[in-house]
Amino acid sequence: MVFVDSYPKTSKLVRSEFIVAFAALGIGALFGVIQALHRTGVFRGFVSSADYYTILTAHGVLLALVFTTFFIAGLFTWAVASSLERELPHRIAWTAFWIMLTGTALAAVAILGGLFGAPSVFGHSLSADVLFTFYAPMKAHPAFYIGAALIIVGSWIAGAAYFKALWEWREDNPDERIPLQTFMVLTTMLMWYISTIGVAVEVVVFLIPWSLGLIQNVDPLLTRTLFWYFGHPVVYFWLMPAYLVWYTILPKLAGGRLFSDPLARVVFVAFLLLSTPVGFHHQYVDPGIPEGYKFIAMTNTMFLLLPSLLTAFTVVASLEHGARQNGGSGYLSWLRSLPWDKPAFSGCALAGLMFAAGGFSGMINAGMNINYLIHNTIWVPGHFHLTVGTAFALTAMAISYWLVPQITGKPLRQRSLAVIQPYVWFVGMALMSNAMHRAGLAGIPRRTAEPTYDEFAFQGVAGTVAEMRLQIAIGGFLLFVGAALFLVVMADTLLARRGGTLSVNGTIPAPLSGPEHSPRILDNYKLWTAIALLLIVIAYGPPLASMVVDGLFAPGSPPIPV
Amino acid sequence: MQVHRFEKVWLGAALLLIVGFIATVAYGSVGVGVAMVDDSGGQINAQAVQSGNTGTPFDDPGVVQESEDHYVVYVVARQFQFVPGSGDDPIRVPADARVTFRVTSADVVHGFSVVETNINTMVIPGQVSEVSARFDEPGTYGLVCHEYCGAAHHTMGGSVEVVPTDEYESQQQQSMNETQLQSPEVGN
Amino acid sequence: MALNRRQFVGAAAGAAALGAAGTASAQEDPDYGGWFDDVSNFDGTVDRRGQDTVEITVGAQGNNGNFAFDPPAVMVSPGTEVVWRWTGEGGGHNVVSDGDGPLDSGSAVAEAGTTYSHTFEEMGIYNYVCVPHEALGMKGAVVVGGPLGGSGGSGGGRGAGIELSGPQWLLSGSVLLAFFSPLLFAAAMRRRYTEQPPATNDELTLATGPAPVEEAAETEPAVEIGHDEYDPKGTAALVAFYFVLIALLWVFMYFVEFLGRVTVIG
Repeated sequence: MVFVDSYPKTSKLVRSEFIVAFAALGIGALFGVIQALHRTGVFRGFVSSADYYTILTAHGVLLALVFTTFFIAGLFTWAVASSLERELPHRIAWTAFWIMLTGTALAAVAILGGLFGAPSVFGHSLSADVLFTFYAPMKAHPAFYIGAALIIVGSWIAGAAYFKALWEWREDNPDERIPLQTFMVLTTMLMWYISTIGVAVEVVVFLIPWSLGLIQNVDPLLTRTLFWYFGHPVVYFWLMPAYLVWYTILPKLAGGRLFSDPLARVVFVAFLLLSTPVGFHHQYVDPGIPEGYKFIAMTNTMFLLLPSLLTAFTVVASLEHGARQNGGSGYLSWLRSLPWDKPAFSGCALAGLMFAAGGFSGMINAGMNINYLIHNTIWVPGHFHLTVGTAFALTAMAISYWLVPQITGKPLRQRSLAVIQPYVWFVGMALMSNAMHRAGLAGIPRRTAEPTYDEFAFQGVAGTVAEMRLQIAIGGFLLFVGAALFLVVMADTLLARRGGTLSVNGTIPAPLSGPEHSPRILDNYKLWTAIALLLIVIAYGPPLASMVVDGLFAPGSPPIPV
Repeated sequence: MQVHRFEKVWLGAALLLIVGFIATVAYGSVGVGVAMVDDSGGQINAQAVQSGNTGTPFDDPGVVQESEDHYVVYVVARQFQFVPGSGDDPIRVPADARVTFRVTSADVVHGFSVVETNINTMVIPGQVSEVSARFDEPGTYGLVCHEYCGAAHHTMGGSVEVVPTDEYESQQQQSMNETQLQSPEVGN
Repeated sequence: MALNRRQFVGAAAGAAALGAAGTASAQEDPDYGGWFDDVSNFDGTVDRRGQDTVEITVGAQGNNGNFAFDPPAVMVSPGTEVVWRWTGEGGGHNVVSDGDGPLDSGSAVAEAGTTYSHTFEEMGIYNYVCVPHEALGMKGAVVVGGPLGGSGGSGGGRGAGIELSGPQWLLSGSVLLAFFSPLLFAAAMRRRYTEQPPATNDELTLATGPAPVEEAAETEPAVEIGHDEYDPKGTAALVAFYFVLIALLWVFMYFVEFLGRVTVIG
């Protein structure tokens, strides 16, 4: 039976979460192409260079915070209901949704106020040109911080709904292993709870009171450190749902079975343990932090490569299984026996391929001293557009082609657009991202409306600066087209009439190596959470202590509104 | 737990790669001597930097010769220029000498990056970033603020002129003579 | 007065803004030739002739922060002493003539109460800037004597209230259009769809209740491969290739790109 008929109430929640996510994707994508055209000098008529930073803030927040969180909430809601075979606890789940939506609206209004002259609202200028990282002492309107805090709190409540569903299921199934999808959801949420502590403290204890004028100064280094405590694990909050799709759904889309359930569990536990005590790798070139802490962060980060490298093997092996079950043979020619004409499959596969490239630039970022080469250059956005921008975003779009029919009861419309969309995204990203990496090696900075300076000219390291700019503009435009294609397909499907036969099937075959082959200790959340917290105390305890020993608010800076 | 033998080999290869990366970075650190920015620059009061009353060389930023082979450049980063560095006030240092940049901010978080080198640091109000390097080749290097710092962030750049040692010394001598000519009453 | 690229772009955006705002020019406004196009607090020339001393605030509200001179354009009599007084807001400012000119208050300072003064004897238009904030629009002009230059203002002050400039209308319009366009498109498609009966249903039409929907049938694999007979050789080949590629790229990036440049040694 189709999911929407088995779990109609949960389906409604998932649909609502997806719709908010897709709306954020649309606006964020529009702003992205405006940025690409402005920065490269191709067209600067949309906004002034000062307003570029408003657009950039909105792009970052809408895509990396709103699109991601709402989509993941929808995906996880579906995954828990589907694998535990029960509807989710209603009231908790909907409360979470409304809190997150309120937070989103507050933050969005605060940011977009900057495009309309930043009128004074409740005694503060309605503007939040602080970018996704909102470093103090730059200050946004208090509504921005309050909105961000609400989005985080809402996500905590959403997690509570998943745990409650698990406990209810446990009562009916006391001896069974936790189904893999639910296991993945809960491990991700545990990691999320641990990691959001940093940003919650930063925003609630420091930035909200400071932006309201209740405290005079905050210590910029401390608040920045608290942000990056969160800022690295948030990328795993984005990646682990993509892995959930690649591990549990993609093999079926390829016509095969998951190669190993136990290894998937090991990978997720590894992320729970290691995602957070690595945040200093975003602060390798910060003053005020001794080198020893940076080195520890580096070794932790390098070991964090392991679960991703293992994932590469397991996922590709599962795809190969599917290809061979379809009749494929040979060392590499089995690749042709995969369903590249099915958008759910091709999008996920291309996302995985691109992630392999993004993983490499991440390895460079992680190297403590080689980080000097690329820190804050446009190499960094080149890297993260491959990872969150493709591994997450393209997987999200691809799996929507498979999920949305099942949560609505409407067959996918505009199929021909859906089939080409992942390829358009892939080509656009390949063009834009490779140019960003090369431009970063030439020293061209990120987060800049006009990367040209009076005092000197950049020299291309591989290729000319002009050609890199052109690739970024063309690639960025193609990505916008890709996002538009996706939204057209989704809108047409969502507005169509229910009924008929779907072209997708929701049954997931058993893995080749099942949970019965994995040690029970993997399901012991309390143990893994305790170890994760211990690792964080080791990595963050001493540095944070040394930052606060001279005063929580010292050396302090007053707010500078932007 | 069953792990396919191929995957076991891959696990070993992955660990090898990871250890290789760590070893390379350690080599760069211990062998080549690449040092990370750390807390050696100390702390400072950002508002005092803003008003020019720190009681340190940051009140009159520029190049100071500490010893025969060691020059220290005090740089203040502010919205939206480097002092010295931006516009027609480039940072001028000699080649083949140890040059230490001490950079701090008068207002928000900035970046300080010398283009085409690995001199790249954050500039955080309240902290002093201290990075030392040795320029082998004379020439002009670009200077960029690479951390968003406000509405005119994209205008915040500058240059570092590395001058051959003998030329530098004679230029120093010349400007000292000029200063003495202009204000003969100024004693040290 | 040569405009560099940045100023030109800023001026172009500002000119579009002023164009939409309507003109309310002062009667004797000198022709500044676009000098004030990107200065948000410019509202015509303030007439302060006949005073011995005229004060201009440095670091007044404007240009997305405290990056303005107030008043930015002022007319004085010859022999007037103009005193610039710092508010202490907006970071470090200075007062420097644009191009050749007598004004130079030195390096940027921030302290409230700082002053700089200059007595203007000769008639003319004296454009000046705050150097670190010039790109934001922190510019001013002192006009000494009667109005000079052509008749008619170069552009009037901005009207009161919230006004959206041309680029901002374009932006908000495109956001809304982009947001709604999938819906508009889908609505158009749906009209076409509902005019044709759905082709897939070959059975009943329910009078009440939601339309029935079925999943696709499960596809059986052509060859079934179980756990024990499966060796992922292709995967092994691909990951081996990836391993070699990464290792080589790492060595290149570290030893050639990174160590090949001037590095931090302390």
